[in-house]
Amino acid sequence: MIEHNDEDLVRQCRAGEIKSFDLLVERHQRAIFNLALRMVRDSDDAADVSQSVFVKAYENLERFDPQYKFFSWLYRIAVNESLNALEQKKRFEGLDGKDLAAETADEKDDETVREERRIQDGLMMLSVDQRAVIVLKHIQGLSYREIGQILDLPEKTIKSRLFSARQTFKDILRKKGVRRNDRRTAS
Amino acid sequence: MTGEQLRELINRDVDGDLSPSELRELTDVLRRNASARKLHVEIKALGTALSSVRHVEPPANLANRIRADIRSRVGTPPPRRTWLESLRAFVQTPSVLRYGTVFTGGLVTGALLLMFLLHPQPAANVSGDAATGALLTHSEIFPFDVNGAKGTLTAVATETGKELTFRLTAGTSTTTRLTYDPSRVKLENVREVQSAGGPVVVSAGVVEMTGTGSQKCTLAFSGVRDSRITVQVAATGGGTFNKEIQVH
Repeated sequence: MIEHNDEDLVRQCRAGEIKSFDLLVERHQRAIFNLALRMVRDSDDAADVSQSVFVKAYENLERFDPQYKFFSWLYRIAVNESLNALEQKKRFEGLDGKDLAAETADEKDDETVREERRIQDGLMMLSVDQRAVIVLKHIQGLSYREIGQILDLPEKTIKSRLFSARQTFKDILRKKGVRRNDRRTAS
Repeated sequence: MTGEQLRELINRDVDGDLSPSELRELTDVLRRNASARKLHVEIKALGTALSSVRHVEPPANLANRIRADIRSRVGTPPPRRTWLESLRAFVQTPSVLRYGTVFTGGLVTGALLLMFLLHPQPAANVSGDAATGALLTHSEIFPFDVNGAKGTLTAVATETGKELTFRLTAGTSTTTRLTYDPSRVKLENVREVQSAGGPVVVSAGVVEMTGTGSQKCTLAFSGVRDSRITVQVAATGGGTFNKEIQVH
């Protein structure tokens, strides 16, 4: 079977092949779900965000600029949708969020679970802008340039935001019992 | 070297972004400066801890949910003609067809206007498949037309068939979700819960029906009994659409 790259699939989809978009969903759903999960924490919300991301991508496919990578564009939508979900969630504060670390804890020992929970707690205490760069860099493994394209910011700003996010994150992990923070920092 | 420059060098080293000369410079500083060494170790450990966070598998039905949602919203592929292209295509059609189209369009518009004037408040017009006992295998889309409010009701089952998610989609952008899990009756986006002695009735979010006036619709579960769920879509202007689904 021929393996098509993203650009081919996007082209086919624009020509009316809806099944080509299904392949894009299959290919990127895991990365998008995990990005959303680390941004919003709750797995149901992350699934909803992922769904919105792909629906919006499909509906706006004609606006996609092929000079950029498809996944960068998808990630940009995912970051924005995650921010929207966090905003909405604020209005329904008090709904139970699932314990992400506990959900994936089946085959792990307690120490690993505690460490992952500590990291996720720390992420939720960062501002959403700082959280986004940390997640894109360390959990998605993207370069400064790719993160810059996704967040529509110069590489220099990405570096500066990433370095200060690490510093904040390091300080947060030292402390205990700090409240979540879904505010945005000034760019 | 200032503290800021050192901090940047350390961070870029963790990201593998240093040139050989910058790396030599950093190594030299680290050899001489204990606090710089400490910061380097801490930032490196942070990077390692973050990078070791494992990826979680998305829900097994996520791709199907996405597929169903896309097909329910957009029945046609994304590329569309601009209005200019449409106008140009229309002008280029043979004149008989062109005048015919204008004439027919005028007739239809006139007829619709006449019908509207004669029946300003039409009776609730409910259509859709209200058959009972439809077996839900994976995901199904039920189009509905409740008193002129059109939309789709999408039911998605998980792989195990234990959880059902219903999505009410109206117009192009508004969706609400209601999830029924028989094992722990989990409901989301619920605004109102009523119990009237009989079967529990749960109303989900109110959805604005874009493109159909100011109609609103509600999605509700009613008659959750045995393995049969009745889902009801009700328009505020009157009219309901019921769908009974057999779950196994």
